[in-house]
Amino acid sequence: MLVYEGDFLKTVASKLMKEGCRVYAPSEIAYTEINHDSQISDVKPKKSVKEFLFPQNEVLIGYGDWIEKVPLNRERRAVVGVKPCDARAIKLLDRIFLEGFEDPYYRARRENTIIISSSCEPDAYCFCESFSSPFSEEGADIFVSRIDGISFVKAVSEKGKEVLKGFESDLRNPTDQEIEKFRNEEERVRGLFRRSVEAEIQEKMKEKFDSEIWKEIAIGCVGCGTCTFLCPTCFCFDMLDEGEKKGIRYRAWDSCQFPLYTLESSSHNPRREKWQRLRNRFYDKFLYMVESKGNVFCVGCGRCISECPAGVDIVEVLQEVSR
Amino acid sequence: MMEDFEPKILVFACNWCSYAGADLAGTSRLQYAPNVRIVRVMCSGMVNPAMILYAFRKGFDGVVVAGCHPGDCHYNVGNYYAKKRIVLLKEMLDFIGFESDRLKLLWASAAEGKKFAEEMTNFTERIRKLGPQTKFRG
Amino acid sequence: MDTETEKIVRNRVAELLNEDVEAFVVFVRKETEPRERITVIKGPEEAEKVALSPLSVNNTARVLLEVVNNFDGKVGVVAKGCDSKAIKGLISEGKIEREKIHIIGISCPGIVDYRKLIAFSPEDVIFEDGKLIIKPGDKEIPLEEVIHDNCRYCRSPSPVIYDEIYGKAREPFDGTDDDEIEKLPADERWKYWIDVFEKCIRCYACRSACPMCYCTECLVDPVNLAISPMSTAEEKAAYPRFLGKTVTPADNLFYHLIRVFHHAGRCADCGECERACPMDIPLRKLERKLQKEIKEIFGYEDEDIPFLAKLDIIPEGR
Repeated sequence: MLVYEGDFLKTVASKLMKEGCRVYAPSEIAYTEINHDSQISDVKPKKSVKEFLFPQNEVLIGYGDWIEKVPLNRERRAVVGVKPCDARAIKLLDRIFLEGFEDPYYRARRENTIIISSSCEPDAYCFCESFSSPFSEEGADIFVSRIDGISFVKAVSEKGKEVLKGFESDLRNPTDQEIEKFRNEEERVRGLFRRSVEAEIQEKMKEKFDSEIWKEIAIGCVGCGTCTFLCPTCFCFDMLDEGEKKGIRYRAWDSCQFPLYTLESSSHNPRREKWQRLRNRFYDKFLYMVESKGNVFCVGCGRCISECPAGVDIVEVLQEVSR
Repeated sequence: MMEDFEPKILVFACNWCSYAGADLAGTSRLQYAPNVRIVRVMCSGMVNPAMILYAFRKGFDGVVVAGCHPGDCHYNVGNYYAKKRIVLLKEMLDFIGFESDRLKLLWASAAEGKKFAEEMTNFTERIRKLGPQTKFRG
Repeated sequence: MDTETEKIVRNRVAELLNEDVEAFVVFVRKETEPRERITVIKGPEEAEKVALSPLSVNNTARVLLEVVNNFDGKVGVVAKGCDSKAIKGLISEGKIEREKIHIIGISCPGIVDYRKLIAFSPEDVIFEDGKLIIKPGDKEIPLEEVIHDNCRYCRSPSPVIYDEIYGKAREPFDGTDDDEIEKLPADERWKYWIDVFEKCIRCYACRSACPMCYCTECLVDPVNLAISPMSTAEEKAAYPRFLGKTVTPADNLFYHLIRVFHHAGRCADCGECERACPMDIPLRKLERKLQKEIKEIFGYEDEDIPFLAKLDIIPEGR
């Protein structure tokens, strides 16, 4: 951990912009492109950072007389001010797209996107503290925490160390007082959370699979898919072709909440009812992914609660399950 | 400026009246603009706004929906549905800033070969002046 | 929708559940935040959970459509003005039987826009005399400050179909609904709509939240197919697809225009589409323009037969 006198996010954003890198920062709706370091803000955007590595539409191949390869996206980009929950989600997505079969489209973007995360304070919906903390550095290339006019900076990955090489003269070691200040701030912020869930809920979930509570919760649910589209760790996609004799094959985000998500070619649909699909979302994140990858696939960002039009609340649901 | 721009026009012609009218224009050897591509549908009432927008999306510069005169529809009321749909679609296209002049509703009976040919040529000229359509093109 | 009306409705729901009504579609308060959600209660002892206030924002007609066929007996529903318009539309289209439901109509003063309310960081909210009292701090705010924008244009705050009616309605809107966008030239209008639909992520929340979008097979969704075990491969491959899942502003505009077109004359004006949208897109502008044109050109508003079924109206000179 090193210390920089001033706002390191602005400094590193300016330097990257000068080097010709495209820089993005949080805005109300999504992480949008900026051209001046004064445009960096602290809001939690509605769309998460997964669209930089796993975009909503991605062309996979072109076809005409034969198959045409499309160039992979190796554009150098940096996202500054990423929330720690979103950064941690990238680490989880790496386990899906890079372990086992390596997805070349994801890998090309991952290698060329620099993630600079910044610590933050919880709002009414956040519960990342149940899994890690708002001062977590997981998934980022550089972690920055701005407290009282100075910035604590840490290079987490090789890519991060490369970027910090230009700042050797500006970064110094922290004093003991400063380390104390950092720890106190972390303690203070961790106490501000209003919601929490129990991450070790797997046994209880197995018991409650056939319970009637899922039908009760699903009455209000609209089945819209907003939760899955805004979730930083949801990764399901669909593949479509467009063009008859000559065209493209592309992948697009899909959602397990859509009615025909599990429709098979024989016309059988194992999750025909809305409550089955709703139940599947919680089970996939808190039980099935734990069994297959060892991690709970939720980072506690709270977007599924604040944007749900029907008031379905993951915290209430998990409380119901653990009862 | 755009002298070499050849507009592409799609016509949905109803089987009983306007397609027969187009056929009559052909057998009478009447010349009209060759930019017109005709799709035969059973009734103008089956033309759906999604089809019209799809035509624009695929790159057509103008779309014509041609049907029987009011009261003469082979299925009694199909052309009334077409009229309602096209009128509302034109209003909404204007609202979103797309030139609604690119969409036309035409009543042409099976005996009006000359009228069909004239309307097609006039419409093609109008679209030629408006220029190529780029807004909905995919 | 003050605490008086809430008490009356609670008692009526309990009474009706003791009589011939098998289940009731009602609003209940969430435990973790001051927000309400819809649920179905079956026993009269559950009636004490029933809540009714300007926080009851969702549309009960949509839930009613889903659950009405799960019960053999009568199903009751608590319906505001807009909800009852949707129920009337669903009945005239044959999706719900009138004898099977019992409607408690609520004359509505308007509902809260939750995104405006959250700015006050409420932990609890109480309603009295047209004002909200927000705890902690007992801050008083008039309802007009946090009301949903859609409610300002509401023409039927009193239910149009009901078995019993309670509550006090707001003044219906009777002005002209001209949008400033109509004054701009065509190219600027196109630019405005393209900027708006740049944000759309095609999550289909608007379609799922709408009570009138009940088609299992959506015309502009490429993967909604009605297939059976008898469908051949040729049928499935040649299925007409007007739109893929490409998320570009022009394609998003295509999707929304067609969706709004299918609500011509049927829209309940409930605003669920705009509330459900995570990107705060002003969907109601498109819909209101369409309904305004239908009224002006064809003279149709809120009748018992669907808009397309009325054949005596054909405008001249267009």
